[in-house]
Amino acid sequence: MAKKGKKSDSLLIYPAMAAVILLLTFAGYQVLRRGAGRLFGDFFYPYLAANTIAKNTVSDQTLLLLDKFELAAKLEALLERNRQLTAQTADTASLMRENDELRTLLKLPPGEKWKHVIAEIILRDPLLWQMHFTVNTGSDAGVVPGAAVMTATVDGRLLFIGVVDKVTTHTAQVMTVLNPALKMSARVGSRDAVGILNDSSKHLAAGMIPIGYLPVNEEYISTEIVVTSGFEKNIPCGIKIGELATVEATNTPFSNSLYLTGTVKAAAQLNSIRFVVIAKRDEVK
Amino acid sequence: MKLLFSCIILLVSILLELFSGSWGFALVVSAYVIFYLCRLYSVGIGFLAAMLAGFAMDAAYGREESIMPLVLLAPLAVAYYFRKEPFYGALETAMPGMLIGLMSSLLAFVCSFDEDYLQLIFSLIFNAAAGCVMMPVLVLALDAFLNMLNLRGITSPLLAKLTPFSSHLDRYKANESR
Repeated sequence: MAKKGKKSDSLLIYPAMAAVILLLTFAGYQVLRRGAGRLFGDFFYPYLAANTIAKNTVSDQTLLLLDKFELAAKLEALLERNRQLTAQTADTASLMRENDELRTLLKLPPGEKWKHVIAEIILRDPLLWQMHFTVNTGSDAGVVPGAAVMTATVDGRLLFIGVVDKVTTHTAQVMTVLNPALKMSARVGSRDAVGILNDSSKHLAAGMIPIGYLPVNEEYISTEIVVTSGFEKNIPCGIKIGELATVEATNTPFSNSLYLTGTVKAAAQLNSIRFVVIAKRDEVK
Repeated sequence: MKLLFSCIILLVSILLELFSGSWGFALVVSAYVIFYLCRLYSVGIGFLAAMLAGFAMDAAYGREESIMPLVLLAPLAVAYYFRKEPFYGALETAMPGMLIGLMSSLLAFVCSFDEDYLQLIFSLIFNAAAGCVMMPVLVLALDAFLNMLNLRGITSPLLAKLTPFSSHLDRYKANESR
């Protein structure tokens, strides 16, 4: 009898121990997950940066294979572009000065000023390719969670990509506008029609973002530009997110819906982005 | 020495997987290494390595959901299935490699809640082919490295010389059991 009792005890003890170990592992995993993101972000940084350096070296060596006349022509074109950009910057600086003077005369608070940090993408998730990525700039460069991440077009316009989600010392994880977890306000056109991006997590075609809470009493036209509203602290106002693709049709007199929903076609091509611009609020004392 | 070797190959496999991920394709190098570790030690040790590698990769990618620990169950299942099968040469690991590629692609598709079925088909074909090629190459390289350290790998080439084809041995065993 005693032997039988011992056997039944061990039959109970082993599964109980296994269950406790599994529970502890799961609980530990859930608790450590957030901190582990920071730890592994910094741990893998030197290796990921080494990969980027190797890639850039190969790219540079490939560039050197070009004919010297071709290189000289490219250099000339680049210098020309630089001169144009310098002229544009000078124009913008004078406009900003004028804006500051007018604000002072009208006794308005000073306008928002932004600094920009250039970062390179060092890690992309193959399973969630369009939803998030990691860049090689972190809190050491003043990047904070919630900062706007943008890309520049060939003609120098900024397009909104997403926001910084988590920051480590050397890296930052970016959540894109195509990630259903990024819920933020967006202005449609130049009017006061403001909606919320990713209000629902319904599955759309690639590159499309759901938008909700759009005012009913407005006329919407497809291809209308959708920009950032400026309501979020670390996101500059007026950065292009995309174009309005569809808005649900309603017959206002017979509809009791308070808001409209629609879709926005993202402007940035997230598949081919390599460098990004991160906006930093320039705190004026 | 064996433990240090295992840790290094696991870390290198994670890095290779992260690099390949940045190029846009999910090459499950860590899954092949976990299969190798399962054969080298046991499925239990492989499970521990799979959880560690999965946890590290999910944290590095910044994923909110746990995907990799589930994906890395594929090599464990394959290792458990082949636990009694001896590998006489590296080429014989092509079949487990292909199965790991297929299963991990399927698990990754399910865990990431993707709905692009065409992409899944391409991913299955790519990872099955990659597994067929990569697993024998990996086993050959890692076994050679272990032999250099005077340690035993997962294949038994000496036994292969005695019985060039594993089917001969199976036939022999079948005859003996009769």
